[in-house]
Amino acid sequence: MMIIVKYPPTRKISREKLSLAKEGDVVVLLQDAVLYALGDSKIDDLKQKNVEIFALREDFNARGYSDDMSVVDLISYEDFIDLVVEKGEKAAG
Amino acid sequence: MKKVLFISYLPAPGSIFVNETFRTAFGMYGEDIEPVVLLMEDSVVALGEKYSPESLGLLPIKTVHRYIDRYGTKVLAVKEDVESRKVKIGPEWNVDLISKSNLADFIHDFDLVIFM
Amino acid sequence: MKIAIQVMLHPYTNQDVDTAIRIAKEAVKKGHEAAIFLFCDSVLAINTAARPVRGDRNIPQLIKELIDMGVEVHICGICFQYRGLERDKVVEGAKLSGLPELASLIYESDRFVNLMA
Repeated sequence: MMIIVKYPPTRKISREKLSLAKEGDVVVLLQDAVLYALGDSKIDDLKQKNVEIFALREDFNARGYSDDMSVVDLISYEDFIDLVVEKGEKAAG
Repeated sequence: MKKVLFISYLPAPGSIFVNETFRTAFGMYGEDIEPVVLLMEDSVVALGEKYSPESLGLLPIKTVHRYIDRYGTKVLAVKEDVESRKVKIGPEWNVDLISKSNLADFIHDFDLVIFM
Repeated sequence: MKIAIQVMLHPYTNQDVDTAIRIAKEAVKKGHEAAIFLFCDSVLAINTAARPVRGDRNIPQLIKELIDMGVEVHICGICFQYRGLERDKVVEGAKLSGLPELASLIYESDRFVNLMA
Protein backbone atom coordinates (compact mmCIF):
# COMPACT_ATOMS: atom_id res chain seq x y z
CA MET A 1 0.00 0.00 0.00
CA MET A 2 1.13 3.53 -0.75
CA ILE A 3 0.60 6.02 2.07
CA ILE A 4 0.68 9.70 1.21
CA VAL A 5 1.26 12.19 4.01
CA LYS A 6 1.09 15.95 3.66
CA TYR A 7 0.86 17.35 7.19
CA PRO A 8 3.98 18.19 9.23
CA PRO A 9 5.38 16.02 12.05
CA THR A 10 3.64 18.24 14.62
CA ARG A 11 0.16 17.23 13.43
CA LYS A 12 -1.11 14.20 15.29
CA ILE A 13 -2.97 12.74 12.32
CA SER A 14 0.18 12.87 10.28
CA ARG A 15 1.97 10.69 12.85
CA GLU A 16 -1.05 8.38 13.11
CA LYS A 17 -1.00 7.84 9.36
CA LEU A 18 2.64 6.86 9.45
CA SER A 19 1.90 4.39 12.25
CA LEU A 20 -0.40 2.53 9.86
CA ALA A 21 2.42 1.55 7.50
CA LYS A 22 3.44 -2.09 7.35
CA GLU A 23 6.40 -3.89 5.86
CA GLY A 24 6.40 -3.59 2.09
CA ASP A 25 4.46 -0.32 2.06
CA VAL A 26 5.67 2.86 0.41
CA VAL A 27 5.36 6.21 2.17
CA VAL A 28 5.49 9.47 0.23
CA LEU A 29 5.99 12.73 2.11
CA LEU A 30 4.82 15.87 0.39
CA GLN A 31 4.04 19.47 1.31
CA ASP A 32 4.83 20.13 5.01
CA ALA A 33 5.33 16.42 5.68
CA VAL A 34 8.75 16.78 4.03
CA LEU A 35 9.90 18.09 7.43
CA TYR A 36 10.04 14.44 8.49
CA ALA A 37 12.94 14.11 6.08
CA LEU A 38 15.10 16.15 8.47
CA GLY A 39 14.97 13.18 10.85
CA ASP A 40 12.22 11.92 13.13
CA SER A 41 11.58 8.89 15.31
CA LYS A 42 8.71 7.96 12.98
CA ILE A 43 11.13 7.70 10.08
CA ASP A 44 13.41 5.46 12.14
CA ASP A 45 10.40 3.23 12.96
CA LEU A 46 9.41 3.01 9.31
CA LYS A 47 12.93 2.11 8.21
CA GLN A 48 13.01 -0.62 10.82
CA LYS A 49 9.75 -1.98 9.45
CA ASN A 50 11.25 -2.05 5.93
CA VAL A 51 8.87 0.59 4.66
CA GLU A 52 10.22 2.54 1.69
CA ILE A 53 10.08 6.30 2.29
CA PHE A 54 10.32 9.10 -0.23
CA ALA A 55 9.95 12.86 0.04
CA LEU A 56 9.21 15.25 -2.81
CA ARG A 57 12.43 17.11 -3.54
CA GLU A 58 10.79 20.31 -4.76
CA ASP A 59 8.64 20.58 -1.65
CA PHE A 60 11.75 19.99 0.49
CA ASN A 61 13.92 22.46 -1.39
CA ALA A 62 11.13 25.07 -1.42
CA ARG A 63 11.21 25.01 2.36
CA GLY A 64 14.85 26.03 2.27
CA TYR A 65 16.50 22.64 2.70
CA SER A 66 19.21 21.19 0.50
CA ASP A 67 19.15 17.60 -0.68
CA ASP A 68 21.97 16.54 1.63
CA MET A 69 19.84 17.38 4.69
CA SER A 70 17.30 14.65 3.93
CA VAL A 71 17.44 11.29 5.66
CA VAL A 72 15.09 9.79 3.07
CA ASP A 73 15.26 9.45 -0.71
CA LEU A 74 14.13 12.55 -2.56
CA ILE A 75 12.05 12.25 -5.71
CA SER A 76 10.74 14.61 -8.36
CA TYR A 77 7.03 15.02 -9.15
CA GLU A 78 7.75 13.05 -12.31
CA ASP A 79 9.18 10.20 -10.23
CA PHE A 80 6.13 10.46 -7.99
CA ILE A 81 3.86 9.66 -10.93
CA ASP A 82 5.95 6.59 -11.76
CA LEU A 83 5.80 5.52 -8.12
CA VAL A 84 2.02 5.96 -8.01
CA VAL A 85 1.70 3.86 -11.15
CA GLU A 86 4.07 1.20 -9.90
CA LYS A 87 3.11 0.96 -6.22
CA GLY A 88 -0.09 2.90 -5.74
CA GLU A 89 -2.77 0.39 -6.65
CA LYS A 90 -3.76 0.27 -3.02
CA ALA A 91 -3.47 3.68 -1.46
CA ALA A 92 -4.10 5.65 1.71
CA GLY A 93 -4.03 9.40 1.67
CA MET B 1 -15.75 -4.35 -6.35
CA LYS B 2 -13.60 -1.77 -4.64
CA LYS B 3 -13.41 -1.58 -0.87
CA VAL B 4 -13.02 2.00 0.27
CA LEU B 5 -12.50 3.15 3.83
CA PHE B 6 -13.47 6.74 4.63
CA ILE B 7 -11.81 8.03 7.78
CA SER B 8 -13.07 11.10 9.60
CA TYR B 9 -10.66 12.42 12.23
CA LEU B 10 -11.35 16.16 12.46
CA PRO B 11 -13.30 17.68 15.36
CA ALA B 12 -17.07 17.79 15.33
CA PRO B 13 -19.18 19.87 15.33
CA GLY B 14 -16.53 22.58 15.01
CA SER B 15 -15.94 21.28 11.53
CA ILE B 16 -18.27 19.70 9.00
CA PHE B 17 -16.14 16.69 8.21
CA VAL B 18 -17.99 13.94 10.05
CA ASN B 19 -21.10 14.82 8.04
CA GLU B 20 -19.10 15.12 4.84
CA THR B 21 -17.44 11.76 5.39
CA PHE B 22 -20.81 10.05 5.71
CA ARG B 23 -22.24 11.97 2.77
CA THR B 24 -19.31 10.89 0.62
CA ALA B 25 -19.59 7.27 1.72
CA PHE B 26 -23.32 7.21 0.86
CA GLY B 27 -22.49 8.62 -2.57
CA MET B 28 -20.50 5.49 -3.39
CA TYR B 29 -23.42 3.10 -3.62
CA GLY B 30 -24.15 3.97 -7.26
CA GLU B 31 -20.97 2.11 -8.21
CA ASP B 32 -19.61 -1.29 -7.36
CA ILE B 33 -17.94 0.09 -4.24
CA GLU B 34 -18.23 -1.04 -0.65
CA PRO B 35 -17.73 1.99 1.57
CA VAL B 36 -16.92 1.70 5.27
CA VAL B 37 -16.72 4.67 7.64
CA LEU B 38 -14.19 4.89 10.47
CA LEU B 39 -14.29 7.67 13.05
CA MET B 40 -11.10 8.42 14.93
CA GLU B 41 -9.48 11.18 16.95
CA ASP B 42 -11.85 14.09 17.65
CA SER B 43 -14.51 12.90 15.19
CA VAL B 44 -15.64 10.24 17.67
CA VAL B 45 -17.34 13.01 19.65
CA ALA B 46 -20.14 12.83 17.07
CA LEU B 47 -21.14 9.41 18.40
CA GLY B 48 -22.06 10.73 21.83
CA GLU B 49 -25.61 10.15 23.02
CA LYS B 50 -26.01 13.84 23.82
CA TYR B 51 -24.14 15.14 20.79
CA SER B 52 -26.29 17.99 19.50
CA PRO B 53 -24.72 20.40 17.00
CA GLU B 54 -28.25 21.63 16.25
CA SER B 55 -28.31 23.26 19.71
CA LEU B 56 -25.69 25.64 18.31
CA GLY B 57 -27.60 26.06 15.09
CA LEU B 58 -25.15 23.76 13.29
CA LEU B 59 -25.91 20.92 10.90
CA PRO B 60 -27.32 17.91 12.78
CA ILE B 61 -25.85 14.42 12.47
CA LYS B 62 -29.18 12.65 12.88
CA THR B 63 -29.93 12.58 9.16
CA VAL B 64 -27.12 10.11 8.52
CA HIS B 65 -28.92 7.32 10.36
CA ARG B 66 -31.61 7.02 7.73
CA TYR B 67 -28.96 6.33 5.09
CA ILE B 68 -26.87 4.07 7.31
CA ASP B 69 -30.02 1.99 7.81
CA ARG B 70 -30.99 2.11 4.15
CA TYR B 71 -27.58 1.06 2.85
CA GLY B 72 -26.35 -0.97 5.80
CA THR B 73 -23.18 1.11 5.93
CA LYS B 74 -20.62 -0.32 8.30
CA VAL B 75 -19.37 2.20 10.88
CA LEU B 76 -16.36 1.78 13.14
CA ALA B 77 -14.65 3.92 15.73
CA VAL B 78 -11.26 3.73 17.40
CA LYS B 79 -11.79 2.39 20.89
CA GLU B 80 -9.02 4.36 22.60
CA ASP B 81 -10.26 7.62 21.06
CA VAL B 82 -13.82 6.96 22.24
CA GLU B 83 -12.60 6.18 25.76
CA SER B 84 -10.15 9.06 26.08
CA ARG B 85 -12.87 11.52 25.06
CA LYS B 86 -15.36 9.99 27.50
CA VAL B 87 -17.87 9.41 24.72
CA LYS B 88 -20.92 7.42 25.68
CA ILE B 89 -22.11 6.14 22.34
CA GLY B 90 -25.76 6.85 21.55
CA PRO B 91 -28.12 3.86 21.16
CA GLU B 92 -28.94 4.86 17.58
CA TRP B 93 -25.39 4.01 16.51
CA ASN B 94 -24.41 0.50 15.55
CA VAL B 95 -20.67 0.97 15.79
CA ASP B 96 -17.88 -1.58 15.98
CA LEU B 97 -14.99 -0.45 18.12
CA ILE B 98 -11.52 -1.21 16.85
CA SER B 99 -8.38 -1.01 18.90
CA LYS B 100 -5.56 1.21 17.70
CA SER B 101 -3.23 -1.77 17.65
CA ASN B 102 -5.41 -3.44 14.99
CA LEU B 103 -5.77 -0.39 12.75
CA ALA B 104 -2.75 -1.03 10.53
CA ASP B 105 -3.95 -4.54 9.64
CA PHE B 106 -7.51 -3.28 9.25
CA ILE B 107 -6.75 -0.55 6.73
CA HIS B 108 -4.68 -2.92 4.60
CA ASP B 109 -7.85 -4.85 3.76
CA PHE B 110 -9.05 -1.89 1.68
CA ASP B 111 -8.21 -0.82 -1.85
CA LEU B 112 -8.42 2.84 -0.87
CA VAL B 113 -8.22 4.58 2.47
CA ILE B 114 -9.43 8.15 2.31
CA PHE B 115 -8.80 10.46 5.25
CA MET B 116 -11.07 13.49 5.14
CA MET C 1 -3.54 4.88 -16.76
CA LYS C 2 -6.15 7.17 -15.24
CA ILE C 3 -5.08 9.02 -12.11
CA ALA C 4 -7.71 10.84 -10.05
CA ILE C 5 -6.87 13.39 -7.38
CA GLN C 6 -9.19 14.72 -4.69
CA VAL C 7 -8.75 18.01 -2.87
CA MET C 8 -10.83 19.51 -0.09
CA LEU C 9 -9.32 22.64 1.44
CA HIS C 10 -9.21 26.29 0.37
CA PRO C 11 -7.00 27.32 -2.53
CA TYR C 12 -4.38 29.96 -1.67
CA THR C 13 -4.75 29.17 2.05
CA ASN C 14 -3.32 25.69 1.49
CA GLN C 15 -0.91 24.08 -0.95
CA ASP C 16 -3.31 21.27 -1.87
CA VAL C 17 -4.77 22.68 -5.08
CA ASP C 18 -1.27 23.58 -6.24
CA THR C 19 -0.08 20.05 -5.51
CA ALA C 20 -3.07 18.61 -7.36
CA ILE C 21 -2.39 20.81 -10.39
CA ARG C 22 1.25 19.76 -10.43
CA ILE C 23 0.49 16.06 -10.11
CA ALA C 24 -2.16 16.22 -12.84
CA LYS C 25 0.23 18.06 -15.15
CA GLU C 26 3.06 15.57 -14.63
CA ALA C 27 0.66 12.67 -15.11
CA VAL C 28 -0.53 14.04 -18.46
CA LYS C 29 3.06 14.73 -19.55
CA LYS C 30 3.77 11.06 -18.93
CA GLY C 31 0.89 10.03 -21.13
CA HIS C 32 -1.64 9.29 -18.40
CA GLU C 33 -5.18 10.58 -18.04
CA ALA C 34 -5.80 12.80 -15.02
CA ALA C 35 -8.85 14.07 -13.19
CA ILE C 36 -9.23 16.39 -10.22
CA PHE C 37 -12.26 16.38 -7.95
CA LEU C 38 -12.71 19.62 -6.01
CA PHE C 39 -14.60 19.08 -2.80
CA CYS C 40 -15.72 21.44 -0.01
CA ASP C 41 -13.81 24.75 0.02
CA SER C 42 -11.46 23.72 -2.76
CA VAL C 43 -14.30 24.48 -5.22
CA LEU C 44 -13.28 28.13 -4.83
CA ALA C 45 -10.36 27.30 -7.10
CA ILE C 46 -12.57 27.50 -10.20
CA ASN C 47 -13.88 30.99 -9.51
CA THR C 48 -12.55 33.21 -12.29
CA ALA C 49 -13.60 36.27 -10.29
CA ALA C 50 -10.62 35.63 -8.01
CA ARG C 51 -8.12 38.50 -8.07
CA PRO C 52 -4.84 37.36 -6.53
CA VAL C 53 -2.19 39.99 -5.87
CA ARG C 54 0.45 40.59 -8.50
CA GLY C 55 3.28 38.09 -8.20
CA ASP C 56 1.04 35.30 -6.94
CA ARG C 57 -0.24 32.52 -9.17
CA ASN C 58 -3.69 32.67 -10.71
CA ILE C 59 -5.16 29.31 -9.73
CA PRO C 60 -8.30 29.48 -11.92
CA GLN C 61 -6.01 30.26 -14.86
CA LEU C 62 -3.77 27.29 -14.00
CA ILE C 63 -6.85 25.09 -13.87
CA LYS C 64 -7.91 26.37 -17.28
CA GLU C 65 -4.49 25.37 -18.62
CA LEU C 66 -4.93 21.90 -17.14
CA ILE C 67 -8.32 21.52 -18.77
CA ASP C 68 -6.79 22.58 -22.06
CA MET C 69 -4.22 19.79 -21.58
CA GLY C 70 -7.12 17.33 -21.29
CA VAL C 71 -7.42 17.05 -17.51
CA GLU C 72 -10.98 16.52 -16.23
CA VAL C 73 -11.84 18.97 -13.47
CA HIS C 74 -14.92 18.12 -11.43
CA ILE C 75 -16.57 20.43 -8.94
CA CYS C 76 -18.78 19.16 -6.12
CA GLY C 77 -22.09 20.81 -7.02
CA ILE C 78 -23.50 21.00 -3.50
CA CYS C 79 -20.24 22.52 -2.23
CA PHE C 80 -20.44 25.03 -5.10
CA GLN C 81 -24.01 26.05 -4.22
CA TYR C 82 -23.22 26.34 -0.52
CA ARG C 83 -20.54 28.89 -1.31
CA GLY C 84 -22.74 30.97 -3.59
CA LEU C 85 -20.50 30.64 -6.60
CA GLU C 86 -21.86 31.68 -9.96
CA ARG C 87 -22.00 29.44 -12.99
CA ASP C 88 -20.82 32.12 -15.37
CA LYS C 89 -17.68 32.58 -13.28
CA VAL C 90 -16.67 28.92 -13.47
CA VAL C 91 -13.44 28.14 -15.32
CA GLU C 92 -14.44 27.07 -18.81
CA GLY C 93 -14.51 23.32 -19.16
CA ALA C 94 -14.75 22.53 -15.43
CA LYS C 95 -17.69 20.23 -14.74
CA LEU C 96 -20.33 20.76 -12.10
CA SER C 97 -20.49 17.24 -10.75
CA GLY C 98 -21.39 15.54 -7.54
CA LEU C 99 -20.82 12.45 -5.49
CA PRO C 100 -22.02 10.08 -8.24
CA GLU C 101 -19.19 11.41 -10.42
CA LEU C 102 -16.76 11.03 -7.52
CA ALA C 103 -17.91 7.45 -7.08
CA SER C 104 -17.32 6.84 -10.80
CA LEU C 105 -13.87 8.39 -10.55
CA ILE C 106 -13.00 6.23 -7.57
CA TYR C 107 -14.31 3.15 -9.31
CA GLU C 108 -12.93 3.72 -12.79
CA SER C 109 -9.59 5.34 -12.09
CA ASP C 110 -6.56 3.12 -11.87
CA ARG C 111 -5.04 5.29 -9.17
CA PHE C 112 -6.52 7.67 -6.62
CA VAL C 113 -4.43 10.32 -4.90
CA ASN C 114 -6.18 11.79 -1.89
CA LEU C 115 -4.84 15.16 -0.83
CA MET C 116 -7.53 15.82 1.79
CA ALA C 117 -5.42 14.91 4.85
